[in-house]
Amino acid sequence: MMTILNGVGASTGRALGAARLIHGPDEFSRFLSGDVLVCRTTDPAWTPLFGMASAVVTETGGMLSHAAIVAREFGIPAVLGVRDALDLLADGAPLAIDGAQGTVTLMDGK
Amino acid sequence: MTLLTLHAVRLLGFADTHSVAVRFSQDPGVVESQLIDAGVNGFVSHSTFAGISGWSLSSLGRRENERLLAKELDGARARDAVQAVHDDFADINTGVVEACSAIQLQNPAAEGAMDVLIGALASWRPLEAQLIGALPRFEGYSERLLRALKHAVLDTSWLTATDRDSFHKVWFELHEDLIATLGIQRR
Repeated sequence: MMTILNGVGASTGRALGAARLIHGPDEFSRFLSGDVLVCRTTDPAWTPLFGMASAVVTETGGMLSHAAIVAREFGIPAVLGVRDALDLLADGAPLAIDGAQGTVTLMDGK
Repeated sequence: MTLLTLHAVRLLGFADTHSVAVRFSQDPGVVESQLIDAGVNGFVSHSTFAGISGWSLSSLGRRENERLLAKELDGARARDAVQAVHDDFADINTGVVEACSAIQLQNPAAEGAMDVLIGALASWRPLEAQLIGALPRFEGYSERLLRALKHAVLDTSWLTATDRDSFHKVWFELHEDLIATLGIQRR
């Protein structure tokens, strides 16, 4: 069974990747190219991760947030404002992101 | 001064020693020494991402940065003034992110977006002047925003690009600076 989380599709596109739950800069070194960045919010320190991410999922923000603008610049899908994403997703879980529909699909359930 | 070095790392997010020194016109040798000390204390770490190496602030360093900023703010007795500027900034910010988004998405609002950004800069200038009376380190945002707009006349990527000092990149940094200075959480 697939679990689908909904948020605001803030940057279009589709991507598949492993969820990488990042709580702060101390954990940046765990992030691998192609991972889906899952976090609460972002600030300028997080911009380099956008260059490595296949997609971005945040718990806060929306169409008009800085994260949306940065994701569009990198041409990667972004689903923002996904409530409790850090609690509902497991690190390493395979995700399908649809930045137009604003959906985060957990491929093997949790 | 450790405050400026840690704060430069906070604002730049991920930057090499030279960029950290340049941010507040500090001596590169002194800054390098401060960064090494900050690394020993666990405030910053040096790493390589996507082929570039640089310094970033740890969670501990972020707390130390905010402790020093609060001390600076209270020492300058500027908390109310900075809060008032932040509130005005928040109103302008709504228009800026709408305009940047419109430009990226090429929706109908994109046509007037440049005027919105020019207006945002005009609104920010007197706020920056107010701020630097109490906290001189805020000087320079207006000039950087103006430079980005001038470049954007010929190349619109200067409005939202992440690989240069674009209007949005400077604005995002300014937003972070205000939030950090007041010790509030990003919404």
